[in-house]
Amino acid sequence: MSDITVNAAGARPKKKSEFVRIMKELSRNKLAVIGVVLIILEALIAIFAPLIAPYDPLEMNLAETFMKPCAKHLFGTDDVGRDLLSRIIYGARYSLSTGVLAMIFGVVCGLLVGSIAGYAGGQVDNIIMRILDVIQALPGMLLLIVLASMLGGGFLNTVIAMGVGAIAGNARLIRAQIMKEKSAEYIEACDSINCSKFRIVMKHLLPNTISPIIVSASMSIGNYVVLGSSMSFIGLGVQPPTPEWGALLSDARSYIASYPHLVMFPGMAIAITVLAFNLLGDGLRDAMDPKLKH
Amino acid sequence: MGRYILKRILWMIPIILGVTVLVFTMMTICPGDPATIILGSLATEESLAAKRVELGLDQPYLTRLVKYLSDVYLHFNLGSSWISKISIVSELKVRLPRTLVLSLFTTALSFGLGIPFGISAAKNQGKWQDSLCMVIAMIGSSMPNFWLAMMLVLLFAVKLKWLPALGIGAGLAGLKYYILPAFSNFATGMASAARQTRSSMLDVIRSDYITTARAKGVPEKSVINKHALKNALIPIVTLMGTAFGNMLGGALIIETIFSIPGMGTYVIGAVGNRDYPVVQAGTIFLAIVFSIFMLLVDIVYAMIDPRIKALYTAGSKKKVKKEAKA
Amino acid sequence: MSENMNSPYLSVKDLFVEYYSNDQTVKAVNGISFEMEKGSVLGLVGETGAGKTTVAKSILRILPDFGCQIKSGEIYLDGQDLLSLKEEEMRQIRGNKIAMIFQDPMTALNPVMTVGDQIFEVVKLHNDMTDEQCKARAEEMLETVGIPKERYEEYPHQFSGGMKQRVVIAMALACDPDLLLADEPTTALDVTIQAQVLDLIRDLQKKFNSSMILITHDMGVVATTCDNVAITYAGRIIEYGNKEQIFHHPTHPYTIGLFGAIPSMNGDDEWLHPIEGLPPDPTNLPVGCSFSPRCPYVTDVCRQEGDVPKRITADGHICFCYNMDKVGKEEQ
Repeated sequence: MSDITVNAAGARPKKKSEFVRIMKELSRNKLAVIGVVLIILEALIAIFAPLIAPYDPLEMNLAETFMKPCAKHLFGTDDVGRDLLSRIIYGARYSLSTGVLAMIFGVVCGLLVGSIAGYAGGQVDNIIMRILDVIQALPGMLLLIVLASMLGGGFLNTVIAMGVGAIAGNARLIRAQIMKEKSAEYIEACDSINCSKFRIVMKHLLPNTISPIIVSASMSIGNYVVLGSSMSFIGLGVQPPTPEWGALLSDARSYIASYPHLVMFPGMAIAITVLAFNLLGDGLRDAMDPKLKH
Repeated sequence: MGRYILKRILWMIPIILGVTVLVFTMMTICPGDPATIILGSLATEESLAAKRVELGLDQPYLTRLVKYLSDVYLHFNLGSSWISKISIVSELKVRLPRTLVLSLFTTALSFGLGIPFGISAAKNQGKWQDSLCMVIAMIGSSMPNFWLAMMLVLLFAVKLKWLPALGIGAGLAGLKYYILPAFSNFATGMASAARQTRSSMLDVIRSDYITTARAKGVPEKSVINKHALKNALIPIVTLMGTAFGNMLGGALIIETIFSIPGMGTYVIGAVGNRDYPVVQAGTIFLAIVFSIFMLLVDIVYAMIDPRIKALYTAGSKKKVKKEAKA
Repeated sequence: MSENMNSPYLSVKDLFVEYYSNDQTVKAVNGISFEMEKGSVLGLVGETGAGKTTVAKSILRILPDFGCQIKSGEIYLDGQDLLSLKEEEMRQIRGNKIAMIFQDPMTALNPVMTVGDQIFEVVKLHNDMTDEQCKARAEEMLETVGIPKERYEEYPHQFSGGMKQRVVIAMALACDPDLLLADEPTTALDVTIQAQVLDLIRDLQKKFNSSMILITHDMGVVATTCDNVAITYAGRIIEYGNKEQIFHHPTHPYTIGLFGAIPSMNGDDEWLHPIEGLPPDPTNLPVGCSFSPRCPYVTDVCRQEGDVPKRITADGHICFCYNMDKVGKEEQ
């Protein structure tokens, strides 16, 4: 018993210093810092949208349709005279939160499925893995399309669809990690002193399996932002007139030749968001695996 | 090796059956009544009920599932669209190749460019070439494909008028219709190929056997091309499988922008119309295509890495022994 | 040790090598100098991280391009200045005139090339021979190291550790090198195999009349194999002499400590005598003598700035220690 407590006590400060090390490493990575700053900025814009946005994003003004960018409407107006800048500002709310929520939902479900499979082993593991095989036989986008049509459109359903779509990949990753950790000696030590299974999973396995998940999750947020807007774009996600960026693009499609600004700005907003998350994810990965850094 | 491939092909059967059941079930759960969608909201209750009987929707779930499975796998009958009444097989015959051409074109393009990019970044680690490659990759991976598609249309079709903005063409000349769609879908793929190549090259370049090769007096060029690349390709090939899946998925979206009558427009349209037979058949065939590509990837993988190959052959040998014992 | 009128066969002068990572500088080699006669075997002894491998890689110039630099120094082989050669000229020498046997045979072979091809490659690179001749030579080398030539087409993963090391040796000796750098060639092997492989290396070195630098931390290996011994610590040579001098009259406190840490075969001692403390942090070496923080004989003079001067012991070998005379006395 004393052995275990020594082990656990010895491991914990090490974990903490590892976290501090990673954060330090991250703060030294200029690109990652830019990513974080952009994300924070966007989050602030999303939260204070009503204060920042010059107009109501839903207010139509038929006297001012299809205005090119000008002093009154910095990003111009759309087919029914809504201010594009205001719509993009409000849109930040949807894009950011779809990405982050879908990531969290996917990780939590993946963690659940993966740790059950990994820890239970045997038939349970076998069945879960075969189901995951089937799910992963579908290209991710196709699965998402089918899921989205099953759940119906709307913000929450899009998040759920993306989260469910991500379960298979996350669960596999977690299972592999748990299988690796399970055979580690400290788990054997826990078993030998009759720790309950639940305790072993919660106190020992999960904390040790979480770090690769954090990396892969943080790198996937950008991907979810794209997927979410893709769904809205093809009409299966957040529905118009909600000013979600993908939906804005979908609206603007028909006017691309004559009013390209309607397409340009929302797309740039998506690209910048994704870039910010990718920079952060990349920085995190480099910080955790220093040899890849340049 | 042959045994292994056969085993993998046989293994595809339960997977595809599983996909069929999964998609069928999901379609059953889908909200919305197909009869209402087909006949419109003004249809009478009797005609709706009659339509449901015609579509078999009055039967319980299991009965319908068994009927569907036997139709597809015993009678090779995919049925026809509920909306257009056109046979699904005839549609798939013309649509699947288009999506396939687009996805393969994109995959080839992104790896054909991404791998050299990644190598040159790794070779010049820490220098400006490295940073440039990685910045390009970073930006490339951040642009949503459907937006890039619209931007490319704006530039090359609307402004410069070099390439057609939408539709498809016949014969070799028709390939130019695929250029913009392929390029709009390839940025993410190329970015991930370049990044994977860079990181696995860096891993490999640090290995002892590369030092051994240098110590033997192997010229730097062969160190990279002969010793490092073949080893670095192992994870890249693995990535190629998932990348193809992404390209396939991306193609579905891209098709809707360029109005390419492929699987994307077919399936996405059918999803909206609750045209279940089309969604099911489309999904099954896309899953088959994806699985075949994954199988090819695994075979290439075994060809590159003798350790994996040995594992496969050893696996089948062991099985032979077991069978002999029994 | 013959009196040689000519310049020595290999001479390394004041070699300094540094590695960089982030904002840290790792001083791996700090002014190593030594000379070697043709056909002799030099043992380079020291703990992990003492810079032994870096010295060998500097001679071959195969240090990584990125984050590593030979700060200064000269390396002459047969009168030729290796560090000033063009890359292409140096490439002709690698694997041909100078060859290296690596520490870990598990990772030293390319996993996706057959062992035969890997030997073939080095033969083909440095000899003007047809493919058939090269293949014959590669097969001959396999047989020389005790591997049946039928295994030419097999991959490294089909070989055991000891067999892989034989392949590495075959590869190193395939072009009949003048100088062989053996970097801990037996460390990664099972104890039972170590002696076999060592015998093999020694026999072949004699047979081909190559000179050899044997890097090791095993005094037993030194005793059976080497003519001369250089003891390294923190990137410096701290004692240098022929085998008899070092074994019979170790003078530097570190060398004495090393011998104290070897279990004696007659079992008189109840305990081993480990050297207290840890090797110094190479990013932050102590001022003066690097060994001073661990040295039982340390005095103030050891901690003063500047290099420890070279001194000659009573039996004529080289030692870098201020308190050399005191050390010998107290030991008795």
